[in-house]
Amino acid sequence: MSLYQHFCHIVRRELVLKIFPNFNFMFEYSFHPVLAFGFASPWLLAGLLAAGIPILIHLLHKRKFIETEWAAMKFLLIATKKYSRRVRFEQLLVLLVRCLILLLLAMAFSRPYWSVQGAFFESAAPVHRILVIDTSFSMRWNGEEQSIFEEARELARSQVSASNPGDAFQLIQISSASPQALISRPSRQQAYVLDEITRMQPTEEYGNAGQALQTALEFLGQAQELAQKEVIVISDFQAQSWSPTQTDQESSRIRSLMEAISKKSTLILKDIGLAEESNLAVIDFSSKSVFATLNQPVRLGITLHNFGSLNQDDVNLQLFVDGQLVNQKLVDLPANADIQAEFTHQFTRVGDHRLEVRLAEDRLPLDNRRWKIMPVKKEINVLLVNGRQSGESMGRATDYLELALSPSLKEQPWQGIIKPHAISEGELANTELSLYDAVVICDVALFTENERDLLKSYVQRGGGLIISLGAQVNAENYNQTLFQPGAGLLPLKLLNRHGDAQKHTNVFEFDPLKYQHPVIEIFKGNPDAGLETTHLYEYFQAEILPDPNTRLILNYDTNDPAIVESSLGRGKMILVTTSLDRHWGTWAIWPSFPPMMNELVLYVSTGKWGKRETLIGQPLEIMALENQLTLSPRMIAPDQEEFPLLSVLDTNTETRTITFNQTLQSGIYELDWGKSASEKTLYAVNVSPQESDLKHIGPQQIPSQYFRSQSSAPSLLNELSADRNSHAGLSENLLFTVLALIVVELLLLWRFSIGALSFLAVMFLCCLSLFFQR
Amino acid sequence: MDDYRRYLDPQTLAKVQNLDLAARQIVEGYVSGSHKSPFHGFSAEFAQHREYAIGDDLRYVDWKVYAKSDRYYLKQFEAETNFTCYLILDCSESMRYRSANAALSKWEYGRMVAAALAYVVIKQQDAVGMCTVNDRVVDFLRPASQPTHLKQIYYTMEHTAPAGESGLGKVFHELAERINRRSLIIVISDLFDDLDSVMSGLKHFRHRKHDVSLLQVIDPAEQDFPFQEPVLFRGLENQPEQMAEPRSLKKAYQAEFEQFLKTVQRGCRDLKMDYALIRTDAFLDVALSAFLSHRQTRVGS
Repeated sequence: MSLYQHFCHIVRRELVLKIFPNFNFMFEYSFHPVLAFGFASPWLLAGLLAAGIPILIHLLHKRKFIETEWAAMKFLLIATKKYSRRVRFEQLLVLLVRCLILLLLAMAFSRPYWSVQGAFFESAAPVHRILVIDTSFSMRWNGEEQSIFEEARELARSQVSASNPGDAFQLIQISSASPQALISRPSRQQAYVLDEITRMQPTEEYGNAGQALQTALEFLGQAQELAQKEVIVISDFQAQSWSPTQTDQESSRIRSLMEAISKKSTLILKDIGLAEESNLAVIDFSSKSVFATLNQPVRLGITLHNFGSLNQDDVNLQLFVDGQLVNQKLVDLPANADIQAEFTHQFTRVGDHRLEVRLAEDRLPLDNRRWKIMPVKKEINVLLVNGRQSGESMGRATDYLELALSPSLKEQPWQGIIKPHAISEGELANTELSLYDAVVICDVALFTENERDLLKSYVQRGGGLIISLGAQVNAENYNQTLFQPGAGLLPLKLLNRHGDAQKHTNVFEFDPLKYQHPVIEIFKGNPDAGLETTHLYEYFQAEILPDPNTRLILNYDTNDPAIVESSLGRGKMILVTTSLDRHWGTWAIWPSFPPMMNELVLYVSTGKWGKRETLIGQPLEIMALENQLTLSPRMIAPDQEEFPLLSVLDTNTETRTITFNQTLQSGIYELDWGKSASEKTLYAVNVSPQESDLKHIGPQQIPSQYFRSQSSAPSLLNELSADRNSHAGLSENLLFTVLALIVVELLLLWRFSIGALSFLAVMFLCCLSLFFQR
Repeated sequence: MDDYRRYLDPQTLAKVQNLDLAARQIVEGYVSGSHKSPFHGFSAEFAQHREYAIGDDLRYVDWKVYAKSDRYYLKQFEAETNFTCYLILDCSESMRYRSANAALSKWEYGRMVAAALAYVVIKQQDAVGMCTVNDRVVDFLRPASQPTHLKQIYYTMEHTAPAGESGLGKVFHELAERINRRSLIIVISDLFDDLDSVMSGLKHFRHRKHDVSLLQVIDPAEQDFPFQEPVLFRGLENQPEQMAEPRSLKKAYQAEFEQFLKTVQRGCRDLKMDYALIRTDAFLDVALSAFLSHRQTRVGS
């Protein structure tokens, strides 16, 4: 490879003019004239070494001689004296012809080509052409007649149609999740390449330009027999894809890849992007609640963005629930700004609900819709594990918590969603934890390793766990079981008890840490709720070990951690370092207690629900319940295509997850467990908002010489193809010369003068044909 | 093919060490009985008339018969013992050359020819003398017609080794002075010498009214130059060495050599001498017959 590159000199206009001063007229018809010379099969140039064979034979021949006596020496000496110079000349000429025969033969087999691109000469050397076509969803932008993707496809087809027989093509699409290499082996079948291009469809993915360029660079290593290489990129050159602002690293990677490609090939960028970029998009659709409860209003937040330079007023925004339009409003969208909109909806049916917001359509309608799934639960089952038995009223460790979660009265039973169920600590090992959304441990003295493992497994599968402490807690046992480094649940270590609940020597209060955690967000700006005025007399000091999944929810005013959150597997855990009854403080009867407990329980319960939304190309993680593992689930995509999921069932029984990767369409995905229609689980897949910004890259990002205007491209291509079709390659010419030289060699041996004349004639004709071969 | 011809093949003769036997073999096998003797003396005793044929020596035309009959007749004389033949044999070093494919060296071949001729002459009761020469007269045997003399000739030839440089011109002048009686002088040599000097010597013979015949003996390689590989030629007779590429030099060499032969031939014709070119790969009968028949034609049967 390196050998032929050495031959592939690029000579600029000045050098050409220096050699051919009268050829200035050539440049009047051309642009960027580049003289190139190379070989299509450069490794065959090794055959050039064969040219040394006649010389070697000649030298060896000279070294080997016989001796003899000779009587007629007089005549030999006269002949030698008279003819030695002529004989030497004859020998050299014959040697030259023999060397030339082998030399030209090797060159002919190496398929040489030469060209002055876009100028006087043009070669017929086949080209290895890599087409890189942007199929990201911004290419769906509809123009007057067709989308810019269709425009790109037509351009690609025209490139292939105008190519020469022998040109090899590879096809790459700029996508993110779909396979980028569409034709991964160089194909010389024009019809096949055209067919592949015709079958290409715009994706709903964002364009990973860096990855596509990397693939193109790798492809350049193929088809080494073709020295002339072109990489043609057809894209809208959207700034977000080609010069991602969020990561300078990716941006510089794209630039360096383009440089690397242009060193190995001719890089041609065909920009079919938009002159004015105007687009409205729904870039976020979310709710603070992971699930909703019956008849409780849920607030749905929508973030809209106007990517244009003009303000858009009174744009219609609609909310659809289960396919029904339930709400709509007009919003004003100022240019280049995020706008927050909000809908409130109350669900009256238990189960998964399809939510969709629609913004009035524009030329890129895909990002004007966004989906969300809202599961509506009837009840949250919470298991309360009581560590302190008592015959007194409200004497058990879980009594206050149970009351806070389900404040039922005899005359009016509690209608709330949370259904607490209290058990004693001894029953823990025999309870099916998977039936509960959350487990709350209250003042349990000791844990066995078996119980620890049960809890750990439960959390890993998505269960929520709240551990509260108390007077009975054996810190040493906790540190060895629940908090054992490496095998435990929480990465922390219990230290000493601080304060004295009996004597009330110290009174501690909560430090809300600026209400940064969502669990305590409800207390923000609500001092009457009494979070900061809660009085506590005793707690366990704890040392939090460094862990990325662990964070503080609340501190004490002594700066010791009060409530710590962590996660394990899919589940969430919370440690409360004080007790949830009246023994270590007044919190249990304080107004902050019920909302805090409700929030904590709901917060840790979300782990079992899993993430119901994802972006195009990113996997959906589906959690199977114990009784669902034997079923044969199938995923139904928005276009009703079905994907059986057994093949992708994660064998990891700890997490019981099924990963679904075929999220290539936006919309609602239905997971049918195969039992009945009512058991379908819904998932929402949305487009990545980064493709909505249609802003172009500027010349400061990509050097302008890579761009060739779209209008000039076909004409250039026609010129090239016309030239190429009318001229045969150099190989044939060289082969004819070789044949002629073989005859010349025979003539030289027969009659030197005739041979010499014919040699001159052959050389002249060869040069003449090379000159006219353009 | 005739059986006797087998014995005239140089390959066969090379095996015959005895020169006497070889000469006998040659003469008995071919010359004797097949042809009349081509050697006629310059006797005054008339033998017969023969009709003139183109090419006959006008000296022997019987003008008296012409006057009477208006026809040209030649006078032929019976050979007499006063016919003397000298065989001058070149024994310079160049005669030593024998190419790879040749059975005999030029010297061996030449002396075999000389032996055969001597045998013929002695057999018809004429006198034959012999001298071997290089740049000087090495041996000189006066002519005699006794059969014992033949043995002496053979002995001399057998015991002479080819050596020394050629100096034929000078030697011919010397011999021309020494041989007083008109004789038939047969020179057997490769003539690789200064040709002008040689011709001058031969001219001297002719000037002394001798009948001179020249048998030029060459090796086939000297004419064909059959070498393919590069050859280091080591010159005989103190000639220098020469490295040569035979294939490319062949034409030039052959041109020079042919030119040399032509010059010799032309010189002989000019001096009215018999000339025959004999290659050492030729059968002895062919070589002798070429010479003898030519001579017979010229002298007249």
